[in-house]
Amino acid sequence: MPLQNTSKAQKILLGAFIIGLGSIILGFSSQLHFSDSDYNFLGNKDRARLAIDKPLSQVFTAQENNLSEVKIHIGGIDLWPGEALVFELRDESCSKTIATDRWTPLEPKPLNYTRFTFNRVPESADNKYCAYITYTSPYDRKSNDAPYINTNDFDGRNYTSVSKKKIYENETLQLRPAYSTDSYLSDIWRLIERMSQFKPEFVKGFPLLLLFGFVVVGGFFLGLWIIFANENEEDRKR
Amino acid sequence: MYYTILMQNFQSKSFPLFIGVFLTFMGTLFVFILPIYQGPDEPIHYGTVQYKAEPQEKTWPIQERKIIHSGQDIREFNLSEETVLGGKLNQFDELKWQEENTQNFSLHTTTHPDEQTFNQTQLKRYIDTYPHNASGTKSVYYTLASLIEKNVPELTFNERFFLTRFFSLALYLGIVVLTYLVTYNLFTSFLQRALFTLLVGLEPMLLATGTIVNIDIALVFSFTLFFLTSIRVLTKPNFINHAFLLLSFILAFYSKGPAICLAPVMGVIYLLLLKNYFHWSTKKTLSLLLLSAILVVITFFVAIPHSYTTSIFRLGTSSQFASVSDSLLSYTQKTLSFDDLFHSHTSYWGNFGWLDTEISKTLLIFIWFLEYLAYTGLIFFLLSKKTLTYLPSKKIIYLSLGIILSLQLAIRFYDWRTFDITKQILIGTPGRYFLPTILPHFVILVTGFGFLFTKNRAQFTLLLKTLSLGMLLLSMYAVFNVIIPRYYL
Repeated sequence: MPLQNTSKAQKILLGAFIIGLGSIILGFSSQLHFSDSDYNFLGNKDRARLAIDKPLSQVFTAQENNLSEVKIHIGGIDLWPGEALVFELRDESCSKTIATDRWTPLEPKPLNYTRFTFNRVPESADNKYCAYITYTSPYDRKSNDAPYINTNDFDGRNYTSVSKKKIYENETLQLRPAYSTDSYLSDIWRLIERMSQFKPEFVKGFPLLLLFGFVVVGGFFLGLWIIFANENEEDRKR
Repeated sequence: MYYTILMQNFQSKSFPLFIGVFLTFMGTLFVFILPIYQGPDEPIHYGTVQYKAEPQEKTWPIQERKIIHSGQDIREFNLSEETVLGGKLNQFDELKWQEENTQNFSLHTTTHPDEQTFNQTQLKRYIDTYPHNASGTKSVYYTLASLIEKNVPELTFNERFFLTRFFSLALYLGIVVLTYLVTYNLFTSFLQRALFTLLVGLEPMLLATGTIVNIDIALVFSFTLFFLTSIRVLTKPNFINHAFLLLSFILAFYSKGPAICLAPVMGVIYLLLLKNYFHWSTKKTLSLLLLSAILVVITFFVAIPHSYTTSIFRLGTSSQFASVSDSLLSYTQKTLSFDDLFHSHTSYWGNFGWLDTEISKTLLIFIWFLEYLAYTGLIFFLLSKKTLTYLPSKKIIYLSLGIILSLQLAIRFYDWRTFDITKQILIGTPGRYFLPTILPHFVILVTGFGFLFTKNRAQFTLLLKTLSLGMLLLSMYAVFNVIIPRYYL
């Protein structure tokens, strides 16, 4: 067993490296869903506070098949143990739950959008769905401590405060539906297609894929070199 | 068998080639990963490169257009039509500072239809609305990049823009090479040298700054060259080393304003050399230091163009405060809070794009904790009489501290002077401003750690391995978990 030839320190470094790289790849894979990109949140911005057990909802139209994620731009996420942000994908009337996901403080804090992922909905294109989000907490926290969803003026879109039964017309929660396929490779290729757009001709497509692949594989081998390289005899005697 | 082959290759001295190739590929990925103009002030920097590439004689009609800066529309800038519309094509205004927004991507294609239309349209590559918004800074970066721009007129806007980013990449790779050369004066083994070079080369903000269109990377390059030549002058003061030290100072001076802070460092280096050569007493050396400082200040004001000194020191402007102490007190209250220092720290380690793409705060706090641990170790190292032969010498540590302190003071001085006359923090102290001293900074970090945690060479090598492995993971994390999801997912 080759690993028997390695020192204890090298084994620890190897373990840490594999865990670190594994987490990076896992983190990357879990975000490999392609969100709608044909609109942006421009104009006046605001916030919709998520009071405990008082959900906010918004109906949206999926543009593609294989809806697999809804990412929501949530701020002030300072949740305590036992609290959660519960997401439900509901039907157009916001009554029947199709899929659920939750974010708890045990997970890494989102850097940008909070991503709620669920089993793919195969025939989702052009269908309407309801994003239904609730903040649950066993504590009696001040309303200012609650997380909020960033909102924007947006003609033709509305969101609803379910408990207040109030519809905010021409305003939208900053959310984006996202899609993925059951093939990791085709998702990677789609990423390459996105990264290639607005880039020079010589790098579009395969060259970018090769570059991407080299960095991943090269990074892995470089990590191994860092761990296993030894100083030569001459240096050791110094 | 595979294990044995792998291990044999890992011991091979040709492996640094792989390190160089890896850093080149990693840098190239960084070149393409950020959308056009999503580096801080990139439209102005590229617009300036294009302006400098214009013919001296302006043969086209020029219109007067008042500059309006609402910050909402790139078309308000008096730059070339191509630079401005290139920004529109890439949705510059929608993405900048707005982490919730992305570019509009087309399905099943590597070329967006708008891109094709843009490339087929003949757009003006010169500025025809004045007063122009090209930067007034004289930088060697603009001079060299504009030479490239001028010589490839047949390329499209995209190609020329990314070629300028490749010019930055070349400077970044130059920094890596210079770092490796510096390590010959720091460490004795090949492995330690390679590990330390990797540690510096993989710092995510250095990679990001080294792959966007900006003049800061030229400053980082010249500071690194200055550090290398300073060490060489101190250890082997021959003509070539003196010439290179002077050259690096001139290069830094013509890269960006803050380089002026290297003048006192150079003064101290030469005074120390003279002290050793003539065996002066400390008292005499200090008196001469004071005298030469006065002479330098006088020479500076006489020899340097008045416009430059006016700009650096904000001469001819009046303070908004009753006294200098009021102004300084108010400035320190505004800028030395935990939040401000943390903001600087964030953009030193990883806040990409228009400072809207941050790495995890938990990670940043962990890095900060490690840094302070290293500083503690450094204090013990400087106070200790113990000699650890595998650590850099105290002379190099003092040089590192001197360069770091000079840059900190220079940037904070300029920021304070701006605050003094406007009562606003307009410049700020983002961490990337401190990247020019990344090499001396990392030298003191590894020394501090080394003194605190290691007892021999083997342990120090292990420490360098741990740190460089961490940096490799940090840079991979920045690419795959931070930048790609922000812009493409």
